[in-house]
Amino acid sequence: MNRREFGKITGAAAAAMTAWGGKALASDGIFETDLLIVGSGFAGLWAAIAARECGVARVAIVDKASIGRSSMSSMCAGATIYRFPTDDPDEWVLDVAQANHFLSRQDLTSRILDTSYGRYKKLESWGVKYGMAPTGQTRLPSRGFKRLKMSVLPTWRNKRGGAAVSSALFEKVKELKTLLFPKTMITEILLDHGRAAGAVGVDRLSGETACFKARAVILAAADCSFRGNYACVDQVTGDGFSLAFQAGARMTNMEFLCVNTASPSYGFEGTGVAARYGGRFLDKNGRAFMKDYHPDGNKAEIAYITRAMAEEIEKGNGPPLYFDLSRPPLGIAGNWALSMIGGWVELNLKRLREKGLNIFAEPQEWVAAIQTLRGGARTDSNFMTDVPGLFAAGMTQSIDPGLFNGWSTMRAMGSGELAGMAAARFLKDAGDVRLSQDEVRLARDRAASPLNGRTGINPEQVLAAVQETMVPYPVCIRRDEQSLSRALSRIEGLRDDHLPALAAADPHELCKVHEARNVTLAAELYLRSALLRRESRSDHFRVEYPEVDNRNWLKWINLRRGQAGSIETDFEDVPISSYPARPTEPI
Amino acid sequence: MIESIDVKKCIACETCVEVCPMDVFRIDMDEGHSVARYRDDCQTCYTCELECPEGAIHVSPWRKERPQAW
Repeated sequence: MNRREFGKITGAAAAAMTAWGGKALASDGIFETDLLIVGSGFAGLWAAIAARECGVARVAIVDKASIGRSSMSSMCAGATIYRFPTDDPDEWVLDVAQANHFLSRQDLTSRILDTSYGRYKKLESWGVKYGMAPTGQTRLPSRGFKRLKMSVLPTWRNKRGGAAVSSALFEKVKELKTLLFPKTMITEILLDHGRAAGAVGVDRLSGETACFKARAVILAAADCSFRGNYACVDQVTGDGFSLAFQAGARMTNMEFLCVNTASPSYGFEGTGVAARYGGRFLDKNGRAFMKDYHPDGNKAEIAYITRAMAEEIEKGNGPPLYFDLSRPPLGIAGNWALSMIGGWVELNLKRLREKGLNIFAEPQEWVAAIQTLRGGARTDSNFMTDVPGLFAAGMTQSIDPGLFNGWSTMRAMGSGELAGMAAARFLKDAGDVRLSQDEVRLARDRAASPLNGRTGINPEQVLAAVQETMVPYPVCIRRDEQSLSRALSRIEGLRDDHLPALAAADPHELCKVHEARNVTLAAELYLRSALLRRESRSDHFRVEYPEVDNRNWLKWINLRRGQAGSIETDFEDVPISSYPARPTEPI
Repeated sequence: MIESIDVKKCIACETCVEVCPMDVFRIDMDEGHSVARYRDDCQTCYTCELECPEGAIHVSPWRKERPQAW
């Protein structure tokens, strides 16, 4: 891509390039920066702000969609856990550890919580206001936690929800003169003697390659949804996972696949909130079944709900299963309360009403919906992966296996800010990097060569095949050796027979080729880890091993790229004796 | 799914091209307006409709059928 074309797409980039004295683009067509951030959700935006405020001169953000307006962060409700000065720090760390069945990284959890009120105050000073729940509370409890509370209903100017926070952060990013590269999908991290030195990607509009030289890289490119049935997660295709893994970083917690619930025919956000205010899960005969499975009933953690739904299916009590939002107070106030979230949630409810469907009038057919693979890159306490100079934040990093209201947003913001600060410290001492021209040429070729008029396999075939493999409940919810092995065999077949032949007819498909490769890798890492963990914990349930086994499994499973395409495994004990929060039962 | 694009309102500003997470839109340079070139990839997130400065895009709430867990 030439500079004129880039400028056309990225007006902000052109402005920032001027701010850098026009020195961003070297004569060999390589953009030079100190810090390259991949992804622009809460984590990427916070990372950029922190790095610039810590004095990093040149920060660039690249995203396969827009910067700050297309991420999961901008589509979520925006509820976020912050620890206020009046909250007890020790109790909160214990709460997080218990909710994650003691597989959380307590060192990182503490740092994220310790710094959270600072982020709350910063957002407030930038004009973000959190609101009041319909119950009159300014902070709400979060499903799955005993003590943690979340701030809800953020607004900023005319925006609400996650879009409000994203917009405020993006405004700050622009003010701090960060170079922006939207519509650019990073396909490979470049290394200089094992240290991160930049990246290569493809432009989603032109199909041409872009190359970045960077002295440090932060991966904040979300997780992987396998195009499950949850709303607004199709774009999350394991891109950050693949970049980290292929660069040599260990991946951890990859067996923890979170499955939420949803309508099979329309998007819905807010099941947890709805269940708190009277929403009930029903079998095909209209019987509410959750009390049979968990003392918290419909308010139980989502993992218990999806597991119960699968058991109801096995007992012949469905399909269909239903979610009933019609009882008071939901039937009366639900529409108003969910509309308060704003953004797509409000518009979606309005559009459903226009189509003649009032979801609060009668039970709705409801299904399991893969939402997110909770694994990610393992980092040290400074958010750096095993690859020097390569940092990970947001959902690309894994610090715990669970999914809770307001915690993913907290994790994304906290890890983003702290990774940005850590990268700034790293850059103070780190020297320059060199890019091998041969390596750059080969990486560009690997990125662009599938664009050949599609003389091969359409990536949509692979994306659909991975989706069909992952979605059945014996693979994603009630897992056993047989179902996981069969799925792994299918994924290996796709990996060996289909991925090498993927081809694209145009730049749009070229990015889908890379997405197909990434989701296939994420599926393989999930299935391998899920086969290895012979117990049940958090979102991982093995039919043959239904109990938590702290004696043998208080450990993380890490996967790393080995020689000739192999995957190496190591088991890492949770350093529970050095952590403040420990299980009460004997280990 | 993308239900309609009002070509009379569309000013071909490329906002939808940039913000769509699924890369659904392109500008038809001959016609001078946006088209949902990759309509099947739409994930019904409404980002295009919410961001379109001219209110030219209308999204239907129904999503394309997906494989189900059971």
